[in-house]
Amino acid sequence: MKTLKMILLLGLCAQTMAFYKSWSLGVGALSESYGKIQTDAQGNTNGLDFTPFFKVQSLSDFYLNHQLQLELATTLPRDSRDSAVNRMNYWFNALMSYDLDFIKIQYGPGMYFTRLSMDGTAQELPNGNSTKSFATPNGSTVAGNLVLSFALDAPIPTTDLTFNSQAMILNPEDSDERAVNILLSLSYKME
Amino acid sequence: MEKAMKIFLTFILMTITFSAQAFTLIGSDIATYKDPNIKVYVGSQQCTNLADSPEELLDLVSEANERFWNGIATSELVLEVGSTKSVDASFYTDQICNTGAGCVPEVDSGILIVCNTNGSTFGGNVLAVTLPNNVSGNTIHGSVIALNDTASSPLLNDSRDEKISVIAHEIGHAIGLGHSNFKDSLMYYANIDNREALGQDDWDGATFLYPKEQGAMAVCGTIEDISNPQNGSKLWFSMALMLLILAGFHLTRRFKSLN
Ligand SMILES: [Zn+2]
Repeated sequence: MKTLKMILLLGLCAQTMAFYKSWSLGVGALSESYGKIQTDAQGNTNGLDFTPFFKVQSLSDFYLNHQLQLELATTLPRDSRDSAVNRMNYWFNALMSYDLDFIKIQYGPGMYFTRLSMDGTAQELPNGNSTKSFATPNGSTVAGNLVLSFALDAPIPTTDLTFNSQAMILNPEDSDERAVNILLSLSYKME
Repeated sequence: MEKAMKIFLTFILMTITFSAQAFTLIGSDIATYKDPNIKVYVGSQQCTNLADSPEELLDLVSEANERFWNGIATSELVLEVGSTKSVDASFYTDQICNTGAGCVPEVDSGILIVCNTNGSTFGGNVLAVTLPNNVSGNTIHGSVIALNDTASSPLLNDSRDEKISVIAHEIGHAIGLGHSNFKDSLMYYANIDNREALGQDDWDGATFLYPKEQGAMAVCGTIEDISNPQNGSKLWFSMALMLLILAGFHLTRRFKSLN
């Protein structure tokens, strides 16, 4: 299985090398797990939260009138409200892209990583009728999710800019754990 | 060209904002169940003061799992509804404390929920108490959740939804989480009226302790134990490799155009 994945990955690289067309740099806004997380005491859940991210992408010709858009993106490490948790996301997408002239429809698999780290500083918090010092971990964890993305890629006329809106689905097969990340980005074609 | 760059830069500036939250641990160091599929059992003895039967408590567990812990996209955690279980009678009457004289026995596996009437277990208006009481090193083998079954238990006045939230909160402790500083999170020390879903702290905590490890995390074959601090660097290595490959496309293109 590992060998198979390796071959697929190398095949993807070879494909991209052979029919390479252009590359771009982009910036965007990421909203994680839309509507899944409670955000206040009234029971409201999270909407769009626009975490900035940066991406580099390449475009190659592919089979069946499609192009292959490879994307590599990352957010900055970001501090928590109380500076206790540091959170960072980075991901890789292999999007099949179908050109309708004015807009491209894109879909494909990817891998989405969530890195969390803490420095081990204890927190004094209420516990029952008194307070207690709660430990926090000193270290980091990376969670990895296979994702399925759908996107619309719209070139802005007379510029080298492209606007991309993307829905990235985590755990598409699992109705409990299914979540959608929403990504909006603007990329600049380098050549 | 210049105008395009300006729009691009404005977009960068517009997107720079920061937010996240915190979670804590139940013990002095990280401790987790080795298998993220964790069974929750209920002691088969009928409670003394609470009206809920053991079977009804299992129903509440099922809803607590579905409404809260089993929906985290970035965590492998799956809480399973076990069965009612016949356990040592002292679980219902002894104090919830670390194994010793007058404390309940160790729970051999999973999470055990019992009604407990021991006055020393619950001070004032405490709804429930949880203790991973079978722990070796960083591994939790078993945890006990004691629901306040004393005559003055505040649980007696709680609605079904509140009981579900209380059980879910205690399950959070059983799997290794401490309290959160924020009301929007289930691990906040007190119950709130509108508890609909997990908060960011709960997601982060469960993701930290039980991270999802799908797909390409196996491609490079270098990740042995992702919950172990510092192993993230190996992922960075594979991401850097991807960047090199992308740089490679660019150079290949340059090279081609020279010919
Ligand atoms: Zn608690």
